[in-house]
Amino acid sequence: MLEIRFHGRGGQGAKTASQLLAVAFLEAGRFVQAFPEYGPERTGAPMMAYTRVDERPIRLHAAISEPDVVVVLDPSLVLEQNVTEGLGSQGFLVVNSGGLGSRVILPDIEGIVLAVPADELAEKSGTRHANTVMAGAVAALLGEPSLEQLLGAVDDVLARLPESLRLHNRQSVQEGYTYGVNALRTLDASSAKKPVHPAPQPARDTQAAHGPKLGRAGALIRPGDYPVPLTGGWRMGKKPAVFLNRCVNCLLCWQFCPDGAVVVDGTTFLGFDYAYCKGCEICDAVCPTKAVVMIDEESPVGSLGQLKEVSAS
Amino acid sequence: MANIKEMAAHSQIDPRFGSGHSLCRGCGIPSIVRTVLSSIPGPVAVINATSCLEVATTRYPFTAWKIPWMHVAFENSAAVASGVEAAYHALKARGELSEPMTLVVFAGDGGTYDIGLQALSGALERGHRFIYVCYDNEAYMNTGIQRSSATPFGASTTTSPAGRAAMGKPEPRKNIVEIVAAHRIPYVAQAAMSHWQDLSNKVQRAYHAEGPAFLNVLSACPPGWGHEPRDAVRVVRLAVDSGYWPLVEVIEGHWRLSYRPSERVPVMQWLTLQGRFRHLFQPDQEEALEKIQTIIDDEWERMTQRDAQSASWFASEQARRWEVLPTLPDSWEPRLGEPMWEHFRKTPNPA
Amino acid sequence: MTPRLPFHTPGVDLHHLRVITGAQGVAHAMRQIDPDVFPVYPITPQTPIIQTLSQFVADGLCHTHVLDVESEHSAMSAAVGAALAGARTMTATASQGLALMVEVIYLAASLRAPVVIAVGNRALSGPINIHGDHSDAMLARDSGAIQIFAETAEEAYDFTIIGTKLAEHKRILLPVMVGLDGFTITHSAEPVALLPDSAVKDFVGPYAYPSPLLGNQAGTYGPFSMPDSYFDLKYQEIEAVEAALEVFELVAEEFFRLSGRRYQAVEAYRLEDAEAALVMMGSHSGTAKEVVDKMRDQGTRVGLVEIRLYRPFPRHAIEQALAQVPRVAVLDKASSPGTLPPLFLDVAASVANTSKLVSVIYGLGGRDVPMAGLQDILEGVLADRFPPREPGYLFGNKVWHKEGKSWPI
Ligand SMILES: Cc1ncc(C[n+]2csc(CCOP(=O)(O)OP(=O)(O)O)c2C)c(N)n1
Ligand code: SF4
Ligand code: SF4
Ligand code: SF4
Ligand SMILES: [Mg+2]
Repeated sequence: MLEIRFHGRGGQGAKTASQLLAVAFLEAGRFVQAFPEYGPERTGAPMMAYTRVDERPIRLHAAISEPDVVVVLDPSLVLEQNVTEGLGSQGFLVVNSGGLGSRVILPDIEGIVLAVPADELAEKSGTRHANTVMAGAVAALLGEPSLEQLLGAVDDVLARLPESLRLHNRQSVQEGYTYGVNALRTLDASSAKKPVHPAPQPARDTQAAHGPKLGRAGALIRPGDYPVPLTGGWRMGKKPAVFLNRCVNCLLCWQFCPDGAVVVDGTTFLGFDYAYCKGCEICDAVCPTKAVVMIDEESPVGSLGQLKEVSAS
Repeated sequence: MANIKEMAAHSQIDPRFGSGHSLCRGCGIPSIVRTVLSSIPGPVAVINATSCLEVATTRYPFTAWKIPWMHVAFENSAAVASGVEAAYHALKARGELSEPMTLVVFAGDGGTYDIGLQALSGALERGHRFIYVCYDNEAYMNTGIQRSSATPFGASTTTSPAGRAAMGKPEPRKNIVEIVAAHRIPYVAQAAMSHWQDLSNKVQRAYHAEGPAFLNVLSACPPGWGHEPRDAVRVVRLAVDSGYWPLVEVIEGHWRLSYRPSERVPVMQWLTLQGRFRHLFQPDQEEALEKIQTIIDDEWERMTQRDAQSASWFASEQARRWEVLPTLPDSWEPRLGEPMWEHFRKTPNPA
Repeated sequence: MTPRLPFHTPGVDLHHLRVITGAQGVAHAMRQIDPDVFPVYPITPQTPIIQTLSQFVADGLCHTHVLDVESEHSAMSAAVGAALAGARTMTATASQGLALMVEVIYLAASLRAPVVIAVGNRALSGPINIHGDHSDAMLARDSGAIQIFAETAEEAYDFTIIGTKLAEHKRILLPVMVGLDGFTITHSAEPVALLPDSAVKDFVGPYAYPSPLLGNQAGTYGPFSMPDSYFDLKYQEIEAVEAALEVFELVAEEFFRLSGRRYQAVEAYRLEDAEAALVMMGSHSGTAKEVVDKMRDQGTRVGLVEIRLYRPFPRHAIEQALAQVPRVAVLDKASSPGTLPPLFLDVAASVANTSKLVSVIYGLGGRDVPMAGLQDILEGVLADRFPPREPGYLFGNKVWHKEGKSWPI
């Protein structure tokens, strides 16, 4: 059995990618299964999807904890999560390196790590999503399914999309596939085609994790005592910054920021809290004086996102 | 009246709703929640119906709520609030509660217009004192954008999809404000997330109402409406400025427009921003577009007439007590941690 | 000429007793407990409970806020809200009303809302019927609510008091359903010994829900639980339900000291050396005791196991009670079309040798259960007349089994 785990964010198409591979593998004569992990999360939140492939009917309906292949659709997830959890020493890690900044260091694993500039390739193909590129690259890496089978799967899974968008996605699958084939030449091809099962690891004991601390009926009595998840990783691409000299302190950005990421001291605007900012750009959209600008994630900026005006422009 | 600065100060001195939730990028709900909660002086307890807001803000063991908050189910938040209010009176009678507390219900349009309507109607008729806030994003978003009776005519949702043989939802939306107003409760209003000052004023009137108060607040939903997250405020503002979403109040049965755009913009401007109406811009859909404009024009006409009819009442002495008084001296320059804020909290109820 | 009574003994002093219905008994218990909030919606045969209580309130005899809501769903929802907010809360329902409540009863259990629910057990529609059986209670069988079944009006009164203390016990904090059979108990007047008001008040004590919603601290009640915590939280609830086996005994013992009336989760009635026994719950257990006595008088060694605590199910007590009994008929006042009925399955899970058990369904929709019928069951069991794994149906005086025969009526 081959087990693939996709890490993505809500809206990035991890579920679609997992289905795409499943449909294509079926076309290649394999038994398959594809399923997402559902939570209360919304667009931008980390989520996972899975594909199982086997030579015989798959009866297993359990989560995949020891994947053979891990596909990361959003490089920022490498910072937030242990994406290689359960990935054996012979495993494959395929990461979208689009916008991959210096802050992301790919995990050092014994198996194959392939960085795919999927954002770039997607853009080149006319789509916004890297998921189909990544599916193409994974197929190339595994040597199966074939490109034709993948393209057939695109038509099947994305049948509801307008013709033009479907064509773009066919194109991006192809880009990913080609990239994977070329990358393989520089890798040890024989080992890449034979995923080996890692040694089994003990299952995580949720009882031990939660049991003794559980409040009655899960009531969270002193909310301050519980961890607050950081949502800064949801940003895709840009982050807000501010030229304080242009700011008239109207606090409209504070008013409309969905994530409480606009920092105000008393009634004075100070800047942005990148730990929570999801990058929705509303602050930029509502700022009456254009004091807010959206800048690249990698651009250096002070902790609150304060910028200095370089010259009058 | 609470202006932005007061609300900002309030939310630091007395934080009620925080960061770290998993509502979508660009979701309109948090700004409504924060505006409502920071416009209410004194302690607040919240009852939340099953919805995006509920699941995304309380994933165990995380919570974004820093005040008493309870969720029981989807269709019963008004009933749960009835019970909490009854308990509140019992505890107060026994002297177990020192401070008065405001009870706020947050529910989506599904939990209000549809499955929760019966419980809401019952609670309104019984006259429980709470502020019921329906954040209306015009569909069941939590379960994946299915149509609700708040979904507007022509909008495509996953259960009223546009296709070769269908142009989105064939029925116009239900007018919940009229339905609620028919219960003759003291205060009913319609507001929008974009018009925060209007919303804040309305929350304060609701706070002063001696009985149930109801607010229907339009909230943007980028994935559900199909717009860029950054356009969340703009799209709601256009709903108001086109007259699609009139900002109204019904005070003791008297209707008025609380805001009148200087010039109503064509509804097309609002429609074109949203993917859920994309199919209406095919060549053969002029009729549907016209129908949308007609629905809006008729509704606007009705509202302006009602507004005119109530003019004399609003000029009367009786209406005066509903004016939300400025609660702070003009010279007030709030700074964190200063006792000035106490002034706001202790301002007596003018009602 | 004066009519002559068939008695041979002089009358005794029964001044301490009042002749009231089960419904009135429950209402009296509620008056004495004086809950803060009573959200409720009317349905036969629960109506006399809420009417009586409303009159008590109107007459100033208790302070309860009777909240006349617009449905049972809202009644239970308001009850959960009030109980968690910090107020003692009760409600009452039956049949379709209970069916409508069930969603929220599950929530009450998981949110740990100690609401006492008096249930005038009635058949479920359809066809629509207002009379007694246990099918409504079975809907809430797996909800996490504790269920107690009363045999008499006296027990309905007593269990309302015991149930309140049990529900609010710090190890429990769960809804408690007190079942009294529709009409046979709700509407039959029987002698009931009411305790003094002050004794009941002292017995239940003040309502002291730990960290209620309207306490003085912030708290998130009822958060969204993912697969990594749901099971653990559910286990916590299961543990609390199980604890009620022990706590029921403690509370019943305390009640005995107060009232002189002793209750057990499982009552073994004349089981010593019994050749056959019935297992059942509710009002018809009284009839069954008569039958047992009569048959014993005639030299037939039979007995009865009466279950009062149905959830949590007293598995070990049942096992013990039935250990020496070679033949057992389990009587269900409910059905589970397509399989054997619920009480039978519970008993079967509790005994070592299930081949000695047979199942009989009786009294659906208030069908009368005469002594002769119960006797026919015992005789049939003694004669090994009943097939295994097939329920029999009690119609009037006779048990009927399918076996290719046509419907007897
Ligand atoms: C009785 C019941 N039926 C259905 C559901 C599933 N459900 C949960 S939330 C929801 C939709 C909520 O829609 P709305 O109230 O508009 O809030 P939104 O998600 O849009 O914020 C539905 C259908 C449920 N929880 N309970
Ligand atoms: S982009 Fe601006 S409005 Fe959006 S989350 Fe970040 S700070 Fe808030
Ligand atoms: S919206 Fe712009 S001007 Fe207003 S406070 Fe924010 S940064 Fe300053
Ligand atoms: S789906 Fe819509 S309403 Fe729900 S969290 Fe996302 S933006 Fe908000
Ligand atoms: Mg909605």
